Amino acid sequence: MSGTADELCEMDMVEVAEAIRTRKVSAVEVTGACIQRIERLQPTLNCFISIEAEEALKAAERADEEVARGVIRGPLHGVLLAHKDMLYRAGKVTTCGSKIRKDFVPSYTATVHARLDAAGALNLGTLNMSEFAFGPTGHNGHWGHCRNPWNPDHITGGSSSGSGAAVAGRLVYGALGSDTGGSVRLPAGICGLAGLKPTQGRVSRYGVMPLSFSLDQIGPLTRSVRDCARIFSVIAGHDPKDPTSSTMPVDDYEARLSGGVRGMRIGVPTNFFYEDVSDEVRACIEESLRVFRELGAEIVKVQVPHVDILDGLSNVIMASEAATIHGNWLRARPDDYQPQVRQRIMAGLFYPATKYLEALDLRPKVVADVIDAVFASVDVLHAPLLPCPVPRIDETDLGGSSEAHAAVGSLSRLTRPLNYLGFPGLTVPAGFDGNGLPIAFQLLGRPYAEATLLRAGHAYQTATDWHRRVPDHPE
Amino acid sequence: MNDDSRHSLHASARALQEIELGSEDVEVMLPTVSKSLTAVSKLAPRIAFEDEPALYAPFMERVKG
Repeated sequence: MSGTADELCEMDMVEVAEAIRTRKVSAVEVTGACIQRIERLQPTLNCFISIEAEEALKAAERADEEVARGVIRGPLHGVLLAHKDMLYRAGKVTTCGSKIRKDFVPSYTATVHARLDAAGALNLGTLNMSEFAFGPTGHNGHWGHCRNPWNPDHITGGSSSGSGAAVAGRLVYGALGSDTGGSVRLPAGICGLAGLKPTQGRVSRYGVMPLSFSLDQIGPLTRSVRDCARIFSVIAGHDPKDPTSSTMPVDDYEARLSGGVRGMRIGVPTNFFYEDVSDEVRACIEESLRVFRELGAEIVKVQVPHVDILDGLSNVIMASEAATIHGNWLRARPDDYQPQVRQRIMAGLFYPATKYLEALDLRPKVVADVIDAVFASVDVLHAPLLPCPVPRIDETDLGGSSEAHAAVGSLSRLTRPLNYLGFPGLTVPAGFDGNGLPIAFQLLGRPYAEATLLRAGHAYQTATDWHRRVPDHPE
Repeated sequence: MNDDSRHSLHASARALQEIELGSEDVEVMLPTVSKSLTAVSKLAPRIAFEDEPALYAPFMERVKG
């Protein structure tokens, strides 16, 4: 195979891994093509904070030498990835998208990095993000805003903004992000990608910058659901270094993709999720349900309990934990935060400890109510991801104003409830709006039901080609 | 929220946290704080005497899909 550089970049992760493994293409060739593309598009997209091109090419050479000797480290051998700049790698600067940590060099490496390394993946650098992972738009006043490859005047979504832009821009084959209120699912959907927020505790948080230890999860953003399954299989599972990580057995998510959705019960919420959804988004989401029906799924209407207050419950936990984590910097360096980020963190100072603990105590009860009302009668819940077309960067650049906080609430309204529950959620691209920006739906499942979500998403992608569309070069 | 309450918030913030709290910051934060506390209070009567945060993770494993 001797594709053009663009053709190499436009393969998906599973395709390029297979091509490298079977020596149809070399890791050096693929990495070089990505680096060339980054040189062209990074000035526009601003998705990288650091780029380690030389190191990546050297690692690609080693990967090719290993292939020549018949050594394949794992399912991601030679595949070029990059990750949100909050996953620590010993000896490498990890800025967390902030001014405060612009020179922070951790002494230890995140378990997710170690697992991807062991699977043979290559690492190209660190990706832009909202400051300290606070922000559903991708704005960053310290490192510059990240821009959407489909239209650079529009947001990427956040906080894993660079992860969304880099994968959608075909600069890397996959990326990890973090999700505390939608920060994997939103940029995935807004950039036309698959994105998975796993069950709380499914993926190790060791070596990852914390925002809210009760709500944070690490998840992949990829070009296809199949790619998502592959990378998730590598990173999921208990980690002795993270005692909060679950000891539940890990599925072979890629092997369980096949099987289709015939007979699967797909729930459609009758409350909350369709409120204030634009006609354009609604039409797209309903079309995706028609595809599922054609594939043999049964569509079932369900009412989701408590969903209108889950945002509030989540806020109490998130802000209390974030204010504690950031306490010393809030005291010593308040002006080194962007105003909106500082305000959202400082809100945690005003929640009494009893209310924080009540919000945590209520989690099993709320989970039980949602399981009984929803997942006793459906296998997955299907819902819009973003209620509106993707907004512009300038119209959401609102500083520390009340309007900014309202915008934050609006953009993450449909994603935040899932973080309080701790359930898994998968974003799947489902079309485009009138501005040429992606529209997506999300699939929500019971705890540890990632395999079911991935199977449903994969079935949808066997019948549609939204995930195969590639943005025109936004230069 | 009235002026006395706002003043009290400022004083608390200074005394307890040594954090400068601008009035603009308070105006921006208060609606979310108020709404979030209301959400917790709505369900708080369901909390049992023996409930504690550590019950969540094992419960999630019991109800898995």
